[in-house]
Amino acid sequence: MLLYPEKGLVLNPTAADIVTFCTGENTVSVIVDRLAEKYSSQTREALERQVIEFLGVMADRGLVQGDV
Amino acid sequence: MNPAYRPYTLIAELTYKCPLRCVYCSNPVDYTRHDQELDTATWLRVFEEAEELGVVQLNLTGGEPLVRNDLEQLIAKARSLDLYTNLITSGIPLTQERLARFRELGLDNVQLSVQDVKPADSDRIAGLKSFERKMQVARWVKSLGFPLTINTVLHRDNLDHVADVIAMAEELSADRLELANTQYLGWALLNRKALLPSREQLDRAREVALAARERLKGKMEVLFVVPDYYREFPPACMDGWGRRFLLVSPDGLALPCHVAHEIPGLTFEKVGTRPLAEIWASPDGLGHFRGNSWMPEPCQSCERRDIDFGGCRCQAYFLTGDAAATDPVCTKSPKHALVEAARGEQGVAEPFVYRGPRVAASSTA
Repeated sequence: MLLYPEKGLVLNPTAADIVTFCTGENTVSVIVDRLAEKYSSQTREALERQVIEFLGVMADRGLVQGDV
Repeated sequence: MNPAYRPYTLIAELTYKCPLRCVYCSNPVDYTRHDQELDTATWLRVFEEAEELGVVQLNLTGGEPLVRNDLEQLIAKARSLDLYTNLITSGIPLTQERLARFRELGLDNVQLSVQDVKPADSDRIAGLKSFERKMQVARWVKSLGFPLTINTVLHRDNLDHVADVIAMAEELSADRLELANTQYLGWALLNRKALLPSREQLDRAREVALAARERLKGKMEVLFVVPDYYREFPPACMDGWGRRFLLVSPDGLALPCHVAHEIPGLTFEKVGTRPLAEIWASPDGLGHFRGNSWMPEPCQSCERRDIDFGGCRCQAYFLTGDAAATDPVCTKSPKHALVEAARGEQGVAEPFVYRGPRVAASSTA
């Protein structure tokens, strides 16, 4: 669960993995690499698309910061 | 434990003492009856027990939590329990050194109240010269690396300033701005005539806020909370009675919300008398308005029954005298005329009643 003022967001396992990789240092490309190791059934392109979409949603909510 | 009733948030009202005297204070009007404050050790145990019950969020509030000299210990404990801890404060009295200690000890967020955008207007609502200090505190919060929430309670005298409030929050680099319309309970109910806005005023402010929310997406979260009096249906007050929130009053009452202990006939237990899990599960007090078997019509057969839980029990009590009545802000309530009448009175010039000790109504003096 990701906690922020007054709220919490229950993340599914994949989302939780992505957020865990958001260390402030990892680029999107690195995050996708790390995910690809774990979710080998998906193509890198598919993973990248999903990561960018998810991080966009999170950034709109102010829950992650950075450049995609 | 029934998972339908799990507290996620503990609202720790550490004290009712406050240097400010805001005319819409959410503390009970008879707060001086509850001046036997819990000691540090009891609060630490409450945090532990609350965490075991499932609490993940902790709001340190009051009154003014900063007047407690054990905040450092409380924050350290919250950190050790991995609670997301939010200090809800007027910013007074505070030094930059103390705030820096809070940061080191693991406080997660600071929510600062700002009453209005012009010093004189803000100070008039707060009943204390405090605006400039609040701006100073906001800058400390950001410079120490905390996320900053600005909370401005909205009413007739500042709803037209919402654009300026947003600009102020942007200038302070706030991460979150709560534009929360006054809820007419506690001191706000005493000042309702002086505070209640018109629908037109409210609609204009909401449009400004919604436009800002879009414009500031990803930069600053903008929340706009509509007052109950202008809704068709009540919101789910506290997400339902004794369901997601546990509030502990300064004197240790385990409550569903800020003012439920003003409802006569309900028995609320003090923390420390038996395990918090038992108090939480009690059919009395925290359990009194759980579920829907207590509901009268029109709630009982309403399709919104499990959405808004019949609205606010305190509002029902204060407006109708019956805490088990349908919340009269609901347009389906047989007592909705009370709210319509109150709306009809808005705009009447009334002097403010400032928060402060009051002589009990039953006093013969």
